Amino acid sequence: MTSNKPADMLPLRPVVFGILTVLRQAPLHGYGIMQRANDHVGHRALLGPGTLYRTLKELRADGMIEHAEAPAGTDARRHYYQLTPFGDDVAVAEAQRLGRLIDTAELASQQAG
Amino acid sequence: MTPVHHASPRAVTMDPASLGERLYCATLRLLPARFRAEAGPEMLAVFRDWRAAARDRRFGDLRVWWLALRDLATCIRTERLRSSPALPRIQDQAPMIEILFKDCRYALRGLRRAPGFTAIVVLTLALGIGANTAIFSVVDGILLRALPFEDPDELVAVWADTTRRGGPLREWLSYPNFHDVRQLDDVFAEVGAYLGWGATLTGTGDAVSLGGLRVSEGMFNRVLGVQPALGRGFAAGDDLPDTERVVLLSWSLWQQQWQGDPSILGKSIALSGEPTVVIGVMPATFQPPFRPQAQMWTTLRMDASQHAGSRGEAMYHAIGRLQPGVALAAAQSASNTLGSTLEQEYPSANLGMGYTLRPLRSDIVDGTSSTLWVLLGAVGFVLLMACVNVANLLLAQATSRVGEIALRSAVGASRAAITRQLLAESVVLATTGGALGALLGVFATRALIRLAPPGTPRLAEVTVDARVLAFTATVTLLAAFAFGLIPALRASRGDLAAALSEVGRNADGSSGRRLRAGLVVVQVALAMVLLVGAGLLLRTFQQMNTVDLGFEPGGVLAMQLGLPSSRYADQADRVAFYGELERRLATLPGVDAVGGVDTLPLGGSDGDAHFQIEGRQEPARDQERIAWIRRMTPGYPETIGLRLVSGRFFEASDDVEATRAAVINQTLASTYFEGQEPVGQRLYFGRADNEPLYLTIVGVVGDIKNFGVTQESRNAIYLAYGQMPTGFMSMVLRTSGDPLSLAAPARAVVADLDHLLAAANISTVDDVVRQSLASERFTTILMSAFAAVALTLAAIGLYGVVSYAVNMRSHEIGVRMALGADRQNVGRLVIGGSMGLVGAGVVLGTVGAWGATRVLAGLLYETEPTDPLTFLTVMAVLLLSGVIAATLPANRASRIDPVHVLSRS
Repeated sequence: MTSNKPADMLPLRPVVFGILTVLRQAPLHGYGIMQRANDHVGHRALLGPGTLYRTLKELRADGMIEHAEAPAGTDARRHYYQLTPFGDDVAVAEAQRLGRLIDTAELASQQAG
Repeated sequence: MTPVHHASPRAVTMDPASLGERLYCATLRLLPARFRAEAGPEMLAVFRDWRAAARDRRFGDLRVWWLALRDLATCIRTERLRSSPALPRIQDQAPMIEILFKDCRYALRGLRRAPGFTAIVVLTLALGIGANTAIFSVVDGILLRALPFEDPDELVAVWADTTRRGGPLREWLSYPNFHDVRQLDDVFAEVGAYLGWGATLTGTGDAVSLGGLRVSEGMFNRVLGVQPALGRGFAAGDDLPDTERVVLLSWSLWQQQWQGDPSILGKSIALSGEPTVVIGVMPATFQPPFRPQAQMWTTLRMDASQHAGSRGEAMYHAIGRLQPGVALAAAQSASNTLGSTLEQEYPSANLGMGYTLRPLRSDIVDGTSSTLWVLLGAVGFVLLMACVNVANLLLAQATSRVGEIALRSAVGASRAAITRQLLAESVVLATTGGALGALLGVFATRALIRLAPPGTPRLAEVTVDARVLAFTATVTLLAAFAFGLIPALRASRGDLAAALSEVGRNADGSSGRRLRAGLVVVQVALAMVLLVGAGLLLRTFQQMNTVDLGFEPGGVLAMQLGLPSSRYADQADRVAFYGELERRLATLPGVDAVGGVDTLPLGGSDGDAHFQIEGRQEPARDQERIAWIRRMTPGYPETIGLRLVSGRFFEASDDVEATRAAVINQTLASTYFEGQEPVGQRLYFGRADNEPLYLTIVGVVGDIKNFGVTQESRNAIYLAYGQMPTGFMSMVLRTSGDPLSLAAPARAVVADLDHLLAAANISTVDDVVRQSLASERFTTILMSAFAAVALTLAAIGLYGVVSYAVNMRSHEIGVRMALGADRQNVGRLVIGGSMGLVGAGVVLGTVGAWGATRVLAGLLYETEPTDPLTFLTVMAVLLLSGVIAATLPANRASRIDPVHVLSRS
């Protein structure tokens, strides 16, 4: 673990932010994360199995996500993932950062207009 | 020291279920082992879900593959770099894998800039590689792969060799002869026998006619080494004549008739009216090496002691399993000894006969192998042409890039680096072409299986599997080097100063032009060989279709019936049944004529007999007069269109009460009654001193093809069904309408007459003829397709070279026109140049085809391998294609504006 302050993790790569956002809703298994993260991005799939697991590995190393128990009645062989409190903080911090960025951009375009 | 990982990276198991998943797993192997062990199984699981979710979308699978491969490429690169952090990142010592990626990325970028060029090259390669994948998968499944049985190399086909008495090399065995060879237990672990069997299943809805085999009790478990999936196999007691009848079902029959209900085991079903106990179901994958379409199997129910007298009745196929460690030669020599003993002991049946053993695999595929090797050779030619074409395109492209390459070496790229870069381009092209080709191959293989002639052995074993893909990968890599190396070496050798100064003008050196022209000549020659091969097969096919069959197949419906001997034991019953059937069928609306015969024309052998002629010396036992025997009803000749030469056909009055009558064919008449009138003479079966059966010849009929359209005519004797009935008959119905419209009413007539019977193999006689040519049609279609591709490739190659030459010579042409050459002259100049290349190719191709078509000799009929008409036609086609391919560039050349060209230089 390299840091324990959410702000030190920013800015996040879009893929990372996508995964964190998806996991904020509920714990999920790999394919579920990939599918929803890709839905968030739009029609083009950005995330494939390889990138997904590489990123999940990094996020685990950084303490942002952890293994979760598979919900009852699902395939127990699949790994489920959930956010750690730290990961949740990072996701919120990135959302706020992006929000401020958008505010700034809107302000700039109003002034220009 | 690297720490030792105790947990094996493969400890987490992946279980790929489909070919696609296996492929994905194979690609995962490019990842560092540690990462693969951690993430591999989950990546596979995600990949599986992903594909499942995309299945219903158009091109969903393709999209998933594309994205997954792109994802993997990124992942492999970053993970590989991460796992070798110790290496310095200085350009010259960068890890090989990174250089490779860089080269490939650069190559991809370059190829994307020239999409037309890339598409042509990739498609050409995909065609060549795809066709090769498909044909190889067929060759592999049928010819190369071991038979799907236990220790398949121990299996041998056991035949009677009757060549010494003028019979076939692979004759069936009689039961006693089979029984005796089975006793050779020093060399055989077991010998099994089988013969065809058909029965009508009743009591499960409509009566169904089923095809199957009778096999000796040890055939499945001890000879082939296969066990049923359900229930038990045959046991020793099942083979005896007086025991309960038992049957093993094929998996598909079990599914069709009993919906896979296991409770059928141990129950009794009615087969041709006989109660028969279902004892087991064979596995779905079980494909007996003989008669793969068999739906069920029962035992022979034979007792050796009861068959002492039937040594002459050859009707069993036999397969042996050699004792472990016993060589084929040793078994053959033991069988030879047995053969001579039997010959002395039973001269009347066994004189001039021995045993011959053949490895089972080659025995099964014998008829197919030459065709398949020819096709594999031809498709290899197509790939070779594709490679030549691509080499030609790359050469042209390299020439136009000579400036770029000179610049790169001027700024310090080494010769090795440039060669590697150009090779990387061809590897990228070949890999893309190979991947597309493999995909194409999968579809083409399915198409081939569907197109393959019925009765092709081992067709069910043909799949595109890892072996085939390994073949494709090898072919792809070889192709990449074949077409990539020459251009790469040539381009990197370039003289810098000369290249830079030449840019824009005649950049292609004269040696480069010669090389490319040479490649076109080779292409035309290769195309010529393929076209001649296809032409010869087309001629053969045409000859076969115009052969006089001796009967009129059009407008005739045929169906097969088998009367079970249990309910029709009496000959009179059989005659009565078929007489009544014939009468009722004749009253169906639209039916012009009805008849019956025991074996349809082209139906092959159904028994031959030794015959004698009254008043003539009986020949020695090893020089018997042999004739094929056919039984027919009086209505048959008119229905099938048999020609009467002299005398009469059979009549209703030729019954058991009357003198035994025979009708002979023209071949028999001219062989034995040259210059005499055969009608009225007598033939007999058997020997004069041993209860001969006399027949009076009442008529002579024309020859018909009984074995295949290419078969030489043989002696045939027709017997009157009313006098010598049998249970199995094919009924034929002639109509002026659509024969198939009679199928349903005819079936109803049969059911009405005996509801326990069902007609089998209902088809038009036209179809029977077509089926008999299916194998030739298959070969001809494929060869023609290959030849068409070859012709197209040659034309494209020629077009490319001529058109390039016109570009390069535009300056010269401009000067000529400025000096007064008119447009026609210029056009002639260009076309003349291209015709020179085609002419050289045709000469070379004629020589090549002259030699190569000899391998086709076995597949040809009434056509010489050097058939001049075929050669001349192909030459004309090639020259014409040459003119067409050169016309466009020639037109362009003749429109060159001298002022424009000269001012540009």
